[in-house]
Amino acid sequence: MTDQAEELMKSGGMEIDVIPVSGELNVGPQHPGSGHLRIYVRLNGDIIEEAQVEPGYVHRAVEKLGENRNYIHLIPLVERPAILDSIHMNLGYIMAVEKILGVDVPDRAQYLRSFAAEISRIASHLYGMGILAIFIGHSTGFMWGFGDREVWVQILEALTGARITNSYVIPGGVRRDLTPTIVEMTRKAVTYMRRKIKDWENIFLNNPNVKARLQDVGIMTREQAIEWGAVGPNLRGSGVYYDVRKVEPYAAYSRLDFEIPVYKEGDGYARTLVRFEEIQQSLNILEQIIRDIPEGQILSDRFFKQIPPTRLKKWWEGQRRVVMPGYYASFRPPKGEAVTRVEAGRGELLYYVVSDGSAKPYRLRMITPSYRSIYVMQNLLKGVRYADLVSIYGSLDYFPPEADR
Amino acid sequence: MDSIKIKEYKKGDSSLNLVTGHLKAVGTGVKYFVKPQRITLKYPEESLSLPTGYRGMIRLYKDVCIGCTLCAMVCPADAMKMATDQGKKFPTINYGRCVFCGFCVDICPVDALKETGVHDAAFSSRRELFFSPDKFNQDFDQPPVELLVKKVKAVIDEEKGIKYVPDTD
Repeated sequence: MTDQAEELMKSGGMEIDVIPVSGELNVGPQHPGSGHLRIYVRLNGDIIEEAQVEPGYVHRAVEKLGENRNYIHLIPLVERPAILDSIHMNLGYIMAVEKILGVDVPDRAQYLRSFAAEISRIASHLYGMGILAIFIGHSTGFMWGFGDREVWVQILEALTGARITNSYVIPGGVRRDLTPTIVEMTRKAVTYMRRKIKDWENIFLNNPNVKARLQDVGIMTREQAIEWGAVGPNLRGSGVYYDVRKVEPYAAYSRLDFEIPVYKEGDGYARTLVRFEEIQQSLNILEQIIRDIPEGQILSDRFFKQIPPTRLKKWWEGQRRVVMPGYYASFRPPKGEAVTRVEAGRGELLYYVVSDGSAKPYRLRMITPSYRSIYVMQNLLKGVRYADLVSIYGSLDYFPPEADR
Repeated sequence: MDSIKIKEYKKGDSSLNLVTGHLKAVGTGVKYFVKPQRITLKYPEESLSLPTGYRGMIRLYKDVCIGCTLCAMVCPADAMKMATDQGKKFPTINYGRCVFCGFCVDICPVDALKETGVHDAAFSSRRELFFSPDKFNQDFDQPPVELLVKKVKAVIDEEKGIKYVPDTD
């Protein structure tokens, strides 16, 4: 008994006559699994000769719309491309706006940003694993991924007031403070997740069926990963130690102790393992934040002073949430430009904002991690079996709306 | 920067590992078959009460409103617009456009707007989604009429993930 095809058949079963029939196939755009993407595949037998990945079916012109809206109006808009990871989408944009405004963010707000971002990362990875599981025919993993994600979504709901489109980070800080209830919820959720991860290992990661579908499939070497511009867990699955949280720390990450999981193999299984271990690291980070979070304000002094005292008493002292001063409705930042990077769930997310001194940004550029996966996927799909297309697609954790923006 | 550790996983399981791998996977499945971990909410027999501060439907307190137009200015979706009613300006809302970001509630200098926590309103036509100041001034918080509805709240459990317990208050 072996799972090595080479031992069963010489040259990995390739000596079976491949009838040289060429054909074309459309995978998608109507939902090849997780979204709207067309993969145009040229086949020879069941070997993919060429694959063209065609994004754009859910393009919403976020960048262009950004030029016609006030800075504050863009918060809900920029999180729409990846609603399952909306904290990161929001955070990167706000960091760019803060750079132009020249605002300092209080320590407690920085910790809260990391807190929300790590919850968002766990939820995003669980979503990705669920999608990968259903792609390779593992329905249990799909149900578990979405079921366990619900736990983290509940915490975000209690913290921010909305399940997925949180709009939590605002220039100068965050909107709501951590309450004892949320701390208690998080403690329980961390314990639950640690326990559930053992079952995840048994039923999904160490499952020989899953291993057979993912190991040695879609191998991306270290050099290729760098050349093709892979980001995030896909890059780290190929043995490159690169994480924006370490390279260019933002929020509270310079004060938090965590590891970056890196795997050498570069195949689908390594990428899955990286995601899996990142969940465990995120759980550690959450515990640290709960322990170490400093007391203090959650909104920059500059804006905090503008809130009417009666409102402060009601909201900040009563419900631990800050309200917005009227300044936010239509502020005009000074001329300038800013580039920020954050490590979103799927990888490095870059924002470039140019301000011309008016209330609307002159230019908003966002380079999303899934966008960087398109070229990687196109290259990885060349020369593989047609059946491996889904497992490569799933292991890259590609999310079409995020790539299309 | 701390030390860089590049890991490798073990490839090529032995036959024994393959058998145990399969058995463990099936065993875990059986465990959850015997002790299922359901998080299904039996809506509408059970209805979820939302945490405090949930950004649900918004209502207006007309007597408090000073007509400053800040809510209309901050609205990212242009859902909130100002209308003149008896010589005074009041906000109107179009729920067809609202994204429930809650910016209007946060920016109102006199707290004339409130998040109600109601999220399951239904409308039979698109015109009904538009709320004039008078309609906007009414409360959403109506207790469900049907006795069948049981209010539950979601709590996080260390063993089951999410558990629904009856909401007493």
